[in-house]
This record gives sequence, C-alpha cells and structure tokens, in this order.
Amino acid sequence: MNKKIISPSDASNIVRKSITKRRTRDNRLKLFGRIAIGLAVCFLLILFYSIFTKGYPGFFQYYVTLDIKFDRDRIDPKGDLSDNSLFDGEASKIVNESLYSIIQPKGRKEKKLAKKIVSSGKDVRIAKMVKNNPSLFGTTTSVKFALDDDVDSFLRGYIKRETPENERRISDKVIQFIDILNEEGRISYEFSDYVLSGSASGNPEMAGIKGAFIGSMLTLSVCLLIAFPLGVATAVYLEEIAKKNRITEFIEVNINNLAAVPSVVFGIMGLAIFISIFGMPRSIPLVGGMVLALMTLPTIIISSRAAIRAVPPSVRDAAYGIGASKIQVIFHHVIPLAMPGMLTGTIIGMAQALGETAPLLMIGMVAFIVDIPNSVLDPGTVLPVQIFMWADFAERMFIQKTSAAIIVLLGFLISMNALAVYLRKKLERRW
Amino acid sequence: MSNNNDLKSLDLTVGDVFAQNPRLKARNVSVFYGDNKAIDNVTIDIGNKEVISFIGPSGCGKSTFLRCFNRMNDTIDSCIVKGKITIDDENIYDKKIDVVPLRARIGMVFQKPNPFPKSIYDNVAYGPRIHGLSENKDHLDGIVEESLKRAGLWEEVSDRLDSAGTGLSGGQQQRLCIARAIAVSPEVILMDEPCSALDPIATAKIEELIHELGNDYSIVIVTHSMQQAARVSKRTAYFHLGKLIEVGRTKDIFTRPQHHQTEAYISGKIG
Amino acid sequence: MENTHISSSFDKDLNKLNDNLLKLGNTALDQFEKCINNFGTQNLEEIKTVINSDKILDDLDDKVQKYGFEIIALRAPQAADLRRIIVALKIATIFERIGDYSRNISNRTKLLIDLKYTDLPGVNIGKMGQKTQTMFEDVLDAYINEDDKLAVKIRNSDVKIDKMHTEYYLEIISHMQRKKNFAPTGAHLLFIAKNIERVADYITDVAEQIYFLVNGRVLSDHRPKADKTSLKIPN
Repeated sequence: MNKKIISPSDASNIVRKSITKRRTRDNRLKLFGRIAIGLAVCFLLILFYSIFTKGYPGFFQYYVTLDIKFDRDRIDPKGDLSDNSLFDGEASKIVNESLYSIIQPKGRKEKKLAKKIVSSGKDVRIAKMVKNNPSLFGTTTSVKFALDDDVDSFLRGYIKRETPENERRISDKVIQFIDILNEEGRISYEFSDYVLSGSASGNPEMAGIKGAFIGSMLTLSVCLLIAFPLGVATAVYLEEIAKKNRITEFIEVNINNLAAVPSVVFGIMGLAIFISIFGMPRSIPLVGGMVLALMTLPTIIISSRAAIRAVPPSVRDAAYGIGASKIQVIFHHVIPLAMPGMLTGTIIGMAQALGETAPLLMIGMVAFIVDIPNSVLDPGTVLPVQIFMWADFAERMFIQKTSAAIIVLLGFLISMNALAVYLRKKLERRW
Repeated sequence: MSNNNDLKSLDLTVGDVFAQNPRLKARNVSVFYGDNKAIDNVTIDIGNKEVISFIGPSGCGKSTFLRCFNRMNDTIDSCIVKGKITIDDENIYDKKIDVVPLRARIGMVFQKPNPFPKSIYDNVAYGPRIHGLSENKDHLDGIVEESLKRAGLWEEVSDRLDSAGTGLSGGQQQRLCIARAIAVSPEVILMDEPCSALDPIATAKIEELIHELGNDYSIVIVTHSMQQAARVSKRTAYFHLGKLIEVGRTKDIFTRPQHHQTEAYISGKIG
Repeated sequence: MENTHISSSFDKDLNKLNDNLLKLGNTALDQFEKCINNFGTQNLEEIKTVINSDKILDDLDDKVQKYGFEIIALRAPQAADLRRIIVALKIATIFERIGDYSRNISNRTKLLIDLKYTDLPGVNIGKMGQKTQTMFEDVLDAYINEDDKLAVKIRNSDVKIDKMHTEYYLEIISHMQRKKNFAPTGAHLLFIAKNIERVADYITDVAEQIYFLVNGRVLSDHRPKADKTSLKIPN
C-alpha cells in the first residue's frame, strides 16, 4: 500500500467527489432535527392548549342578580356592625325573600329547593358589603350572588336536561326555577371573585386559592431565608477556604448525591426529626420551609460552587496583589462576581420547591385549612397540595378550579424562571 | 544543601549580583512545585530606584522568581520557597510577617491587564480604602488623581471616573492597573510581562511610563522580549532553567555579555 | 532633529551622539583652519598647539563610536534612525582622519620653517587651504540641516581643488628640477598640497554620506575628478 500524503490536486478531486454524499448526510440530519423540534413544539402547544382551555373557564362562574333591601334592623340588630350582630342578623332570609319574589316557589319543599340555588356564602357577602359601605343601609341595591355549584355545572352544560331526573344532581323543579331567572336576564357569567381571593371551602363555588397561595409564599420565604445563606456560605467555604483533600471530596460526592434524592425522603426526615424529635407542630409553613430548605440546599450549593469557580483567577490575583486579605478577596470580589450565577441557581431551586408536594404531604400540610395563615406558625397549605386535594373531590366545579389553580401555579413558575434569566442578564459583568 | 553555600551560587552567576543600597535582597532562594525545582539557588540584589529586568527563555523560572518577592506563590498550594528574601533586613518569609501590608509595599502588575469590574475611581481607590490610607473623601480623591496622573492616564479619564474600568482599551487598562498599584505608595513595583498583551504603540507608551516611574520606585520587570529589556532597564538578569546565569548593566549585557549562554540567548542562538 | 520618539530616553541618546559628532566636526574644522593660517604666519607656538590638540579628536571619535554601537545594540534603530547612526559612525572616522592630516600639515610646516621657506609664486597653499576650509564649513552645515542639494554642490566643487593641486604639483616639480637644493623644501610642499587635496576628498566623502542619509541611496553618478597627477609624467 502506498501510504504517503496525497498530492493537493488529487486531494481536491477526492474532496469534490465526496461532497455530495456529505451534503446529503448533513441535510438528512438537519431534517431529522427539524422534525424532532416540530414534534416537540406540537406537543408543547397541545399541552398548553389543553391546560388553558380547561383552566380558563375555572376563572369564571355564574352569578344571579337579586335586589336586596338593606334593612338595618334586620341585618345588624345590635347596630354596631360587629361580627356577633351580623351573625344574629337575618341577611340570608332577606336574600331568600328576594329570590322567592322572583321564582315564587310553592310550599315548603319547593322553598327548600329554592334556598339551595344561591350559594351558601350569601350572608357572608352581605356582611362584607355593609361593613365596607354602611351607607347601603336603607337602600335597595342589586347584588350579584354566586350560584350553587350544581346549578353552575348545569348552566355550563355538564349536567344535562336530557338525563333522567333520578340520575341528575338537580331536580326538574330547580331547572324550572333556573329557567325563570334566566328569562328575567338575572343570570350572568362573570370573572369569579372567589378563585383568587377565597380560601379552601367545602363548597366548590366559594373555593379559592388565596389561602394556599399565602401558604406557599410563607413556606418559600422560610425556605429561602434558610437555604440561601447556608448554601452560599457552604459553597464559599468549600471552594475558597477548605483545603482540597479526601474529606472535601467526600463532602462533594455526598452533596451531589443529595441533589438526586427523591423529595419524599426529605419529607420523611422532616417528620421524624422536626416533628417527632423536636416536637414542632405539624402543618405549619415553618416546618414546611425547613424541609424544603434541606431539599433545595444541594441545588444552591452546586450552582454557587460553579459560579465561584467561574470567577477568573486574574481578579483574585489582582486583589491579592494589592494586599487584600483572603476574606476581603472573597467578599469584595468573588461573591459579587459570582452573584448572578448564585441567584440564578437559587431561583431555579425555589421554582422547584414551589412545585413540591410529596414532602409537604409527609409533614401534614394537607389538612383542610379555611383561615388564611397569618404567620409561619399558623397552619397552612401550599398551592400544589391544594391542587392535589381538589383533584380528589367529585364536584364538577372543582375540576375547573383545579385547572385554574394549575394555570396560576404554572404562571408563577414561568415568571420565577423569567426573573432568573432577567437577573442573570442584568447582573452579568464583563471582565 | 549545606548552610555555607552563601557564595556557592556566585560560582555560577557571572556579573554584579550585589547592588549599592539595595531595596530587596534575595539569598540562596530555591522554589519547588512539589518535587519539581523551578528556581535553583539564586542570589541577587534589587537596587534602590532602579529598573532591572529578568530575561530568559520560557520556562526558565523568571516569573516564578518574581512572584517570590511579594509572596504571591503563597496562593499556590504545591509551591515551596526556600532561602531568604529581605526588605530592610526583615525576612519576608518569616512567620511573624503579615503578607497583607507586605503586598502594599511591594506592588504587582500582571501580564493580562486585570482591572476590577468596578468604576475607574473605585479601582484606584480600593487599595487605599482597605489599607486605611486616606483620612477623608477629599484625601482619597487626591490620591486617586495623583496616581492616575503618575500613570499617565489622568487626562484621558478625568471626565469619566465613574465609568467601568473594563471599558478602556488594553493599554489604558494596564495603565489603570499601574495607577492602582501606585495608589498604595509601594516601594517596589513588580511587573510580570506587562506589555505582552498590548500592541506596539501601547507598549511604547508603557515603556516610557516605566522610564519615568524608575525615578521614584524600584521596578523589576519580567519580559520575554529581550529588546524590551534593552530599551527599558538599567540592569538585566539572565535566567536559564531556574539558574541565574548573569547579571549586569544592560549596556554591557547587550554589547559584551560575559557568559557564553547569555551571548547565545541574546544573539538568538538558543530559544 | 524635530521628530521625537515615544521613548524620550531614545531621543536623549540620539542627541548625545549627535552633539558629540558635531563637536568632533567643529574641532576638526578648527584644527584645519588653524593649520592653514599657521602655514602663512609661521607661528611656532600655534603650530605646536595644533599638533598637541589632535588627541581631543581621537577621544571624541572613540565616544561617538561607543555611543553609536550602544544605540544599535539597545535600540535596534530602523529606517532613517538607522541611516543616521551608520552615517554618524562613518563621518566621525573621517573627521578624525582629517584631524590627522591637519597634524601632519602642521608637522611639515614646522620643518619648512627650519628650511627657511618663503613664498613660492604659483603655489598658493593658503588659497587652496581656504577653499577647502569653505567646503568643510559647508559640509557641516549640510549635515546639520540635512541638505542634500548642498551636499551635491560640495561634491562637485572638489574638482577645483583637484585642478589647483595638479597646477601646484607641476610648478613645484619644475622648480625642483631647476634648483637641486630646493628638493627637501619641495618634497614637504608637495606633501602639504597632497594632504589638503586628501582633506577635500574626505569632505566629499562626507557629502556623499549626507546624500545617503537624506535619500536612502548612494549618489550614483560619477564624481568629477580632475586630479591627473597620478596619470601623467610631467616633462
């Protein structure tokens, strides 16, 4: 075999001949790539489309407009607008009277059916209105009330007229009443004022995510306040101060492994240590935050270490050369330059923590909490757990509200990630 | 190595190792990276307010030796320095010596210009701030202005002291680094190939600056360009494979070097 | 020199070289002027001074050689700078040699005094000397101003000195043939005339160097020569 270097003219001939084959191979690869991307985009579009179409209606619900006589003596017997007084008052009765005047039920049985048409939160609504605006007393004003969830499902078309009565959740008589209200134009489809401002409720029409939202915020705050300083300090220690020996390698391997541990394990750990051994109360954002902090720490440490390593040695040399001590080099130069990377890692870790359900279930943040938590020591729940609980309930309306809550959660995740990208761009410094 | 090898190194080094009224004295200095000996038993004086250059082929250890003077080799774990280096008769490697004020007395300018990612003002003011050299804002302003003037940069940047130091051209950045080193009032300035990342005009300007600074500071320059050493320094030291081969007046080294290895390097016969 | 380098110490070194070269040139001119005057005045004291002062020129030439050598080693001069250095080194040697000739003329003048020489009509050493001196003054001006046109003029005026030399040579030879005991005097006179003619030739060399300095190439057309003394036998 003649193994010598090919002459230039022969080489260019060979290259020219092989070029068509190479081009076809390249183009084929490009085509596959494009098809793959196209498929991925399609799936993504389908996913978002189905989420939106399911969830969008969850933000709306049906209301009925009734004319209410704001009779002070009946609504606020003690006259001081206190919760006691309003509780003793007859707000519900007034609403029912207004309803009866329109649909005119006959007999006790029909009246009982009629009462159920309007959501049971009617007296709370009246109470809130008069507290905010006492000048309503003595007037007759139209007020919109949410409709009961079965009525709402019927109006949306999930409960059908055609189904035989004994298989339906609402009776023929109620349908009649609804038709009357509809003919009078009193039924409207509006943006729900419960979804975002209401908290958990057994009644689907009154259920909202506010409680879970605040619970999520409190839990995440605790998580951030614990995980960020600890994570950054650990990364600084491991990268800058600790000597590189067997022990630090061992620590590094373990941190990397912890990042891959299933989150439910952290929940079990929280249950065993924080709740059983330390005796902390269950279901509070403080404990939830601590468990999530343990889970997020490896992510923050790993990304912070990478950010610190990315700081060029020339900056350190310059700082040492001018006579800065090790601590000054770390705090005046390394940390500010590594901060964009650290923040990005932290926000991504937070976004992950926002969507965590399993560990929080383990420590009991699954209870049915009606009151919105005011501090990290009040029992609460988080958004993904709320979604999980709603998904269990049978009422049709919960399905919609669940999808709406998912949209809120996704929106939150996207904005947190967008914040990470924005922060990274803004803080990026050229060196 | 026996203890009375003070003069042994002089057997190998040709020329005037010692200087009148030296600023820094290095005696029998050896540097190891692990088991690898990078500098072998070097003895040399750095004179007061003189410009001395270290030349030699790449890998001969001149940068390593330079970094011994301000203990920058401390930042490298595997590096061990043996021997004595004294400033005003104090051994800088003594356990009692704090390296932080030492590095203010002996400043350094690096090969690739490395201003801090801060404003021009903050770059120059950083050193005086951390060493507590200024009493108030006006005093600090004065130090910044004087340092920038001495570095030949004041006229070009006086109207934009708040802009980023990294927004300047390469030559300007290097002058900023020189101003930063001057701001802490050093006695000695070490320069590790300060012009190798710059174009010829920027290099010429820095060389002119070094010429002026030589009136006020002792300057040690490591350079891989012997022509630069010829232009800029009064004394030249030639290193080869970790040993100091010859030291002498630059004029003499370049017109009639005494050692055959020096002659070979200067006339381009060895790399 | 108006063009300055970024490195001020380079300018300083070049100026030092140039100052010493001009000092050398002016001293050599001064020596020559004196030796021609002394030929006419026959003042023994002045003649001895010129002979003893020749060492100054040697020292100045050594300095110029040293500085030029150092600039080449340390600065690696290019283009016009390089030509300046090389030309300076060459011209310094020439000025030093002119100084040697001035000393030589002074030595022979001393001997002529001993031989009781008085003026020989038809041989006007003074005039030849003064014309050569004018050439010398002009060439120094041409160097300072880097005036290549003046340099060419100087080169072309060498012809006149050559003609004078031929004339005086023939006159001295014929006189020596008529009066046998005039021979020693005549010999010295011949040497003096020849020395002055050599000085004029050297000045022409300097002029050609100045042309090279300014233009970067050698003055190509042939130097007009009129010294026929080496080509003919007088009858």
